[in-house]
Amino acid sequence: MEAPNRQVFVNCPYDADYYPLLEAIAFAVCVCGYTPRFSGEKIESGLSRLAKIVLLIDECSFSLHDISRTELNRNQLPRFNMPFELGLALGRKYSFAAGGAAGLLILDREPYRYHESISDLSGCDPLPHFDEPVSAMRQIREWLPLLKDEEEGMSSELRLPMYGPIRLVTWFEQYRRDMAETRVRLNIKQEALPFGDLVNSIRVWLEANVTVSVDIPVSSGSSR
Amino acid sequence: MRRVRHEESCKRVETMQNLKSMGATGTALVQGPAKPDGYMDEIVSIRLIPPLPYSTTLIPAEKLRETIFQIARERQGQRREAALNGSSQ
Repeated sequence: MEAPNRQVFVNCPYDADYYPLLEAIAFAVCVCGYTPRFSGEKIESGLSRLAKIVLLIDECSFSLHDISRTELNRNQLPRFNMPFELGLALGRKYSFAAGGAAGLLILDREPYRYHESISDLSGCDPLPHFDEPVSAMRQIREWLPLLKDEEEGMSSELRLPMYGPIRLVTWFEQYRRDMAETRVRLNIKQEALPFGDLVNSIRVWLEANVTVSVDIPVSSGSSR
Repeated sequence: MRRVRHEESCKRVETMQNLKSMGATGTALVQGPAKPDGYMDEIVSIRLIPPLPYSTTLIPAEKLRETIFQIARERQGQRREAALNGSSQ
């Protein structure tokens, strides 16, 4: 089995109401040293939406699923995209032929709400975020394995100092203030950035404000 | 400061250029040109800035980097000023 990569498939709603949570999730994933991936991250007409999702699940060693918006719409029909994609990811996790998946996290609005809609998840313990970005970030911080220094080598991942949940929240609040200012300076009207811009903004902000400066020593050669 | 042969140093610069061609940006600390004896001061380290994960974006990467770093610098300046004002009182 291959070593897990640091990519996280994020399965969550993409509407404006959800954006504060989406932003918090992407921030926490980046702070942990991973790259969030989204099914809508690139436009490709040659692939169906389902094919794109399956490819992403296959490419990412980790996946995060928020089923908090599984509720009835105005036609009294449930929104089932998130649980459906969760099912695909669980299939891969338990597929020995596909090599399984390293980690999977399920988030919901309240504890045990899933009992009434997807009782098959019993024992999987979806964790509640109570619709609060800070709670979602804390759950992710607890879930994703923190990167170890010795794994860094010459990788392109960010290297961050040790931090706890309070520091994580402080960074996130500062990031949001700085992004509001960035949008003003770059004359960007929309608050909800496209996925690529959101993730790039977080990565650059971490570089500018949090990252520990790393000098990679070159291996010693002939010297006198 | 260790000294290395000029050819060895060139190899290291080449390594850095390869890393840059993969999307990383960075600086190498090099002290001066090769000396007549064929040796030069060693490249001490290579500092890498990781490439951004997404390339097709609304905001050009350079503009984004420039603005966010500028805001961070301004805040650091304000903090320093506030600290100086505080200590002078």
